[in-house]
Amino acid sequence: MNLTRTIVISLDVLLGHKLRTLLSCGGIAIGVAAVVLMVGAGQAAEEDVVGKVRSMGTNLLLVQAGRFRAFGGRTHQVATYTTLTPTDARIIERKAPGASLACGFVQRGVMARYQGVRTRTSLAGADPEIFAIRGIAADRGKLFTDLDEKSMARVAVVGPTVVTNIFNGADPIGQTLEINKVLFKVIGVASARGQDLSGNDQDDIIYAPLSAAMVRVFHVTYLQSILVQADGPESMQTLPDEMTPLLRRSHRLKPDKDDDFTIQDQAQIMQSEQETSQAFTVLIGSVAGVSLFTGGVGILAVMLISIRERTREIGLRRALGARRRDILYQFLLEAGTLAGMGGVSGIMIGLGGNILTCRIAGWPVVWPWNATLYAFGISVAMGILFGLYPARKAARLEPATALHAAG
Amino acid sequence: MIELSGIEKTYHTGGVDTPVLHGINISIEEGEFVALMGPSGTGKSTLMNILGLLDRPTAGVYKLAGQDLTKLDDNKLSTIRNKRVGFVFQLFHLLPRVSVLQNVLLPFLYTDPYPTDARDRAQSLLKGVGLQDRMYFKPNALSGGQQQRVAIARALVNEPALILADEPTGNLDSVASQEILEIFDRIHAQGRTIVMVTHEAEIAAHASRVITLKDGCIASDEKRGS
Repeated sequence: MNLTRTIVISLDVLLGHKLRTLLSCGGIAIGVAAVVLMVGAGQAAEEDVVGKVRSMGTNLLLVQAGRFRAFGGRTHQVATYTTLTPTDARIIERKAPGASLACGFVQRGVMARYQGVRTRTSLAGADPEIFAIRGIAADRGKLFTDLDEKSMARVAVVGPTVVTNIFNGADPIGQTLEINKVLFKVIGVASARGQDLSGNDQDDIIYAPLSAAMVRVFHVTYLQSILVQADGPESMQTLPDEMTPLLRRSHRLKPDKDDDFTIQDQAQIMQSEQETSQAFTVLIGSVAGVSLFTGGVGILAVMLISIRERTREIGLRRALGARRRDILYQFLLEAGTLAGMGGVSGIMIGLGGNILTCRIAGWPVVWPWNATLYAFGISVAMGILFGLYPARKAARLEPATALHAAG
Repeated sequence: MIELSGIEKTYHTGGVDTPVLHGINISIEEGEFVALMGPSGTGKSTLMNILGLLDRPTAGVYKLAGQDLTKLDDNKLSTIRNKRVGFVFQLFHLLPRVSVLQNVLLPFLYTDPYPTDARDRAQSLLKGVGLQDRMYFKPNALSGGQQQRVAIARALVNEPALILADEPTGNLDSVASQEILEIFDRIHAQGRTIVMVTHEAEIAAHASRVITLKDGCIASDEKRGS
């Protein structure tokens, strides 16, 4: 039997039963769409986490002033200390063998005023290394340097959101900005970093030299945290043990005292978030897979009805010379075509929905090619698997009985 | 051409044996037009099914053109049905969703190799039964008589030696019946062998031989000079 002729015949039949074809395709389509959409969304979320991990900087450890305790999947500060100083940052940089950069850091909410308009934003006082650690470049103007740090210069690098909110999108370079009543000169615009893992805007920020921020704006002598970049992934393991005695000695802690600082591996926190979202992808993917199975059962039902209704047609075809095999193939092909059509429309719905979801969530659009191929393959396999029983049933009909069946 | 010897058929349903045919012996020559008559339930349809290879006899030997068919497997029987037997049914049995032409071409779906002149043959047969301007119609758009003519064209398309017709006029009015019988006369005149089941004596009058069944046995077998 000629394959193309068989396909033409089964398409004729399927198009002849539009509503029924639509319904059984629909089951598979929904299943495939669900798989594509869910896995696509999951992968996009993962990709998003990976992107955010990269934006935080690689091989990064965070020394925080105070003690932290993890509960409910997040870390919470349980005490604040005023012992962490810029000197500690210099000590780490000089004496910890695995540390390549250490950057003192203070960040707080401030009130910025420009041309009489006051806007709430946040000021980050940091050593110039912050730009290297976070991968920030100057979109316009320039970044501040060690010289600005040493001279306690009142210069500021603003994030893109600040340009929009405070300067109404105009070029802020050279403008004077009042931060908590202290005048700063804007020298640069930082490149965009997007949202962090909690969805906070990382571009609504003003960077200033650590010394200027501490002394002139915040009036403090202590740091909030030190960002330490390890010289390689291996050092990430040894670095905490190198830093702890250095910091304890610097803080003059007696051996029976607890640490007054906490060393966190940001990447680790995020890795666990990534694992969570991966597990989530697998979970929703499997749930979607179940709906694919349901679609398969739909095909089974439709094929059984179809065969019952077309018993006489089967008898006729047998009388005209169709072998059992020809009947089997015809119905398998019909089931496969149904599933295939459902699969293709499901993929289109799923990918369309995927783009929409990613747009709304602000995730990068990820084409879940693997999931798409699997979903399509599985849907066709479902069709053939669930078509097999009805098709065998059809092929086993006795020609004489089938031909003279009622209906 | 057809030789049936000691054909028996017993149906087993629900543990009960129902004998239908008791040792039928018939020999039909090539070019004969045989009418198969008899009251309902005497095994006419069963005999037709056996003649058409749609059913196997419980016992006995069926030879078609000297070949014993009782030992052949399902695939071989399908091929013989496809190439050597043409069926015309009381209920026409056309596929409703495809065109008249596609219906006539249907047997070729199972013919290997597909004849290159399939379309020409189907078209000229449709022309022969006066339906050349209905080729692209759906069967539902045709009258009963026209549908049966399509079915006859389909039966003839693979040029079978044997035409089996099971009450071909049973669902038609007298005018349409007359047209159908004229076509059968023409086919007969072309030298094809026809076996036709019928209830009506006037239809049987078209045949060259009338076999009457009664209770699964041959009650009478008359040849006429035509």
